[in-house]
Amino acid sequence: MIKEGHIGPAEAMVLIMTMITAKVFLSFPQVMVEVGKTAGWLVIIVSGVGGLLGFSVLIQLLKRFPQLNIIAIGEEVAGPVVGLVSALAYAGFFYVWFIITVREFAELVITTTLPEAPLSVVLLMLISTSLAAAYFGLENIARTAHVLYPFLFFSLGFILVLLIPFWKGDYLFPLLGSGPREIIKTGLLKSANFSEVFFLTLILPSLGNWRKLQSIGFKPYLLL
Amino acid sequence: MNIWDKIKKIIIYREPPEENIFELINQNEPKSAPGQVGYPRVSREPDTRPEQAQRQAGDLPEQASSGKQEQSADGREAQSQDRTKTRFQNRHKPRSENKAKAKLREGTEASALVEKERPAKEGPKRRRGDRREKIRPVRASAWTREKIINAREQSLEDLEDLEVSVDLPENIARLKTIFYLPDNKDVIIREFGLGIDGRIKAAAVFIDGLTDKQLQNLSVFQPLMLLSNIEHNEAGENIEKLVEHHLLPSNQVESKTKFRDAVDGILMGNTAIFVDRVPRVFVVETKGWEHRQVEKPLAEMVIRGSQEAFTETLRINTGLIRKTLKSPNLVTEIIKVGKLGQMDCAIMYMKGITNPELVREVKRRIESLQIDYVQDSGVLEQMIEDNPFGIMPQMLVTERPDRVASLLVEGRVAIILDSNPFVLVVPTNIFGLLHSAEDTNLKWPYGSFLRLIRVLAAIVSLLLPGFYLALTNYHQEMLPTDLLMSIAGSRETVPFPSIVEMLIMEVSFELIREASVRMPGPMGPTIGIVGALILGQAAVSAAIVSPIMIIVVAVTAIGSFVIPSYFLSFSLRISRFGYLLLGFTLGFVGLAMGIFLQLILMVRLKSFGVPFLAPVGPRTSSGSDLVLRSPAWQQELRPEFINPLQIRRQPKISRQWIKRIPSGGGGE
Repeated sequence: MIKEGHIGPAEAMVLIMTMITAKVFLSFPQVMVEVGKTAGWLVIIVSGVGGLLGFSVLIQLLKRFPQLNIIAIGEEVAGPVVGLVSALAYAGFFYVWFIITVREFAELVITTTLPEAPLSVVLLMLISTSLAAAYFGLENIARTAHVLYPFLFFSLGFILVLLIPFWKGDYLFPLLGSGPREIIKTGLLKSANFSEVFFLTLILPSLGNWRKLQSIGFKPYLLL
Repeated sequence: MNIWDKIKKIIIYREPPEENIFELINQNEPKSAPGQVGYPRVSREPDTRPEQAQRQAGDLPEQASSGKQEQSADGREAQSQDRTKTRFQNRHKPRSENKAKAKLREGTEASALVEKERPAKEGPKRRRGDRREKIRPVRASAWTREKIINAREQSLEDLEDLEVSVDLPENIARLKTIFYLPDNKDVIIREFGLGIDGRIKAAAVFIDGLTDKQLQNLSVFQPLMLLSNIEHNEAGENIEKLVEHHLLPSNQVESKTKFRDAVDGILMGNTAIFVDRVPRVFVVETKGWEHRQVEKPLAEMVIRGSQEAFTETLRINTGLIRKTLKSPNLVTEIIKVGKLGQMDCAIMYMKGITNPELVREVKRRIESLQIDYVQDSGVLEQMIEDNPFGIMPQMLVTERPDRVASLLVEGRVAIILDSNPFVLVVPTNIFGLLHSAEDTNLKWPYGSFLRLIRVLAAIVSLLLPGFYLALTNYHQEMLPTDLLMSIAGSRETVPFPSIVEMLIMEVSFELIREASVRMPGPMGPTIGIVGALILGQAAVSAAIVSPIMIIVVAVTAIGSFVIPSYFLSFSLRISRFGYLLLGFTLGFVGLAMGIFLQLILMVRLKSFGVPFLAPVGPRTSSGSDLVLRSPAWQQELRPEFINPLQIRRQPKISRQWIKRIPSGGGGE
């Protein structure tokens, strides 16, 4: 059964997963190695757990106000002024997030495929494409993501497999890198790596209710 | 009611009084529409058509006066005077009551006057609850203009309500106005007498060229004129029964009361028979126009499978489908499309399998069309498709009855337009457009292989030129050095950038393709020679293009020919130019952007509410017949995305015989 104006749980999940995994190709791994040294992978796991904790707090909040998205809840709880401020903060967060991602992506494009292209052209191309996508709406983006993700994950796996000659297991040692305390600290600080999950709270009404959202939000973690 | 009550009523609650209903309706009507300035409520004068009808009806009895008319003339006059009186009284009663009474009268008495004046009084525009009409002044010049413009339209609208009169001359006069006789030479009105003594007058109306003359002579005129035995004093009802049940040995005879049915029947090639003293018309099936025989499909040829294609006659087409799919559940509904030239449009579906919502939607869209004339199913397609600006075809167009049948049992709806050998099937998706009729007839490995080839062809015909440009301009590192050198070497003498080269080739190829379709048959081979020269050795020797470019363009062209849907191939051909530019300007990134955008556009598309990428985006269970085909005995489910009423089409074990296989050599 196909419903209109509605994003299926699988589609939303894929959307979030795509948002998170896209980072693998950006500067993310390098940053992780820089902060976590040889235990960069542990930092990721810790920050994932941190993100989960944050998300479960959010879920508790959403449970109280079913059928409202996070901005509406802000207004409900704190009144119009504080609600507006929090909504602006939320918008600002995504704005900044978008700017950073687009810039990183543009630089990635320049370094990997179009070394002579001016940054502005690449930025223009990326922004105009996302604008067009935004114009067509979230539902269509989610569906497109759903159509594309098998190809995406297949190619990701393909890249990983082809890189086997470059895998160096001994680089994982010492296992705990710069120490467990450091890992947990930086991991929790970097839990914003998974902040894309908060995006779900905005689109709550088109998803259904918080119960679905809960499962949508948690599953990607388990899968990654 | 005292004044206070009146005031109270005005202030507190205003119940719309009866005469205000009409005003309210008027306010809602669009004022700018020229056809509605107020013609019907301007005056009570009968409009030109009934006047004409009256005049002609008045003339005619003189020519064709019979004993019967003389007999009843006096009585009728007296009756009609009474009638006028009662009608005047009835004027202030609700119209429906009036009509019911008129109907009652009709059956028993002959009252030509009532019949004549009714269309003027009861035009379709006056029907909307105008219990007491308000007369409003309108400029005389405007009124005349409206009248001239709308004369024909109104005559057609009047036709909807016009009932067959008991009076034969009057009916004939009506028909003459409707068909513009005697200017119109196609319509034949053959007057004759029923039975050997010929006392009861009758007339047969048909269109020359649409009817089967022999059939008419044998099964209409002969029995009515020579073989009937009717008493001349027989009452109207008896004649009616006699004619319908005994005197018309035709396989389809319909007895109708409305002129509309008679006119439609005549236009369809049937013969309408009016009999004096009978307020009915008998529409006898006498269709027999020239048509093309059932031939081999032209656009969808298969090696294994039925070799029949649709033809231009609706009934043959529906018959072909029904012949392929013999089921009482297969329902054919017929809707008329077009205001000026009406076309029959058949809708076929499987009751109990097809979702009724889908059928309703198809009917709703077709019925709502306000169009003069639909000349082709292509026009109908454009009128009812979900997204007219989407580049992809949103309906499956086929000329094969077996294909339509196989899609009908999946729960889809077929739309068949008269005079058209292409049938529309909705809803469809991109995978359906990549399937061919043959896939299902072949063993699953062959079918799957063919489909993979087709998917490859679609990708090649869409992306190859863009890919080539991106590769040679931006990503040379992906090519083996030797190949790179040879490409560079072959391009050395070519003075243009590769995009110009590519555009020259693509455009000239499109020219050749279009020319080969438009060229008259005998000149066909010429185009091959010219094409080979342009797209071949000569272009290379002239150093206009490089040889590898010719390979790229040729493979692209072949790819686009492989796609079974001509219309999908069209959309890919056009999109290809976009990818060409993207690949040239932004390399692979540009191509990726293009694919993303096209995908998002395709995800948006819907075919009768069903997403175009349906089983993939949004994901539903698809059955196992998408790109790869599973064996026929594994195809247990119908595609879920079209929401059929029964999802399962065969049981888990459809090959019941495998149960009988003796295990371990023993019996049962």
